[in-house]
Amino acid sequence: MAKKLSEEEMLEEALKNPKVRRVSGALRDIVPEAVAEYEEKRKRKSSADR
Amino acid sequence: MKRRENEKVLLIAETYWLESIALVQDPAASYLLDLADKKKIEIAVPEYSFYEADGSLNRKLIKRAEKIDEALSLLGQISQSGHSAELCKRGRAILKELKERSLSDKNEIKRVLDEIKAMILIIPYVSHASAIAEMIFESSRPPFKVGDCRIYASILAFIESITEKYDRIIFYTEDKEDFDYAEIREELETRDVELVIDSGTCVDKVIK
Repeated sequence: MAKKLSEEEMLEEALKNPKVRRVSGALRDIVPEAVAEYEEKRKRKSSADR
Repeated sequence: MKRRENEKVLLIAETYWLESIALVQDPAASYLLDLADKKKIEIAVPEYSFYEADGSLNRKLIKRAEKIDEALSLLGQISQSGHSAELCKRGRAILKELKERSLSDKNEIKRVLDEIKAMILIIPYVSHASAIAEMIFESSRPPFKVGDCRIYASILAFIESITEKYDRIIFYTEDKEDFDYAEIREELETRDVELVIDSGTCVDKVIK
């Protein structure tokens, strides 16, 4: 079985792939309104999980 | 249950996953995309999700452009009153430049979605799926939002049409609020599809 990766290791591994690097977080600075909305959704989700 | 050697896994994701990659660089979401690109798993996303993400992101740009137009008009009115005409002119030039940048932002959204599309399988939004979506939406069963019904229906229609043999099929969504219902879990289970509501758990399930 493969070793369980931490979040940092997963991102590091994924970003070694140039195709993933070109899209990962690519719209973060372009549509900050959408990032804020996404974070809000995520917050709601984590409080619902508690 | 641990994954066996050479197990063939199909992961079905939706709009949230696209946003997790493009907007916030979520490690697990990006890692799953990398696994798909390396052909270690297959990922399928409804075509409808791409339209949904494109529409939602572009609407933000349109709203921004409308606000810029309002500010341009306001500055125009102030300069006509003779107050700070030169400052207004400079302010308008900056705002016009910002508005022009929206076009390249629009192209960037398209580029990112197209590049993700090229690395995965696309679940088409066929008329059969549209009919199922309409019936789910009108019924008392979840999901309840029209967009979610379309996504869910296209997934159901896609599962019915799969001819390839997969050892494991997972429907991954972070949208617990709209998809985590007993009816949906049961319906998927009868089709040998597991519902997973967390990217980390999803990675655990697909890696060996």
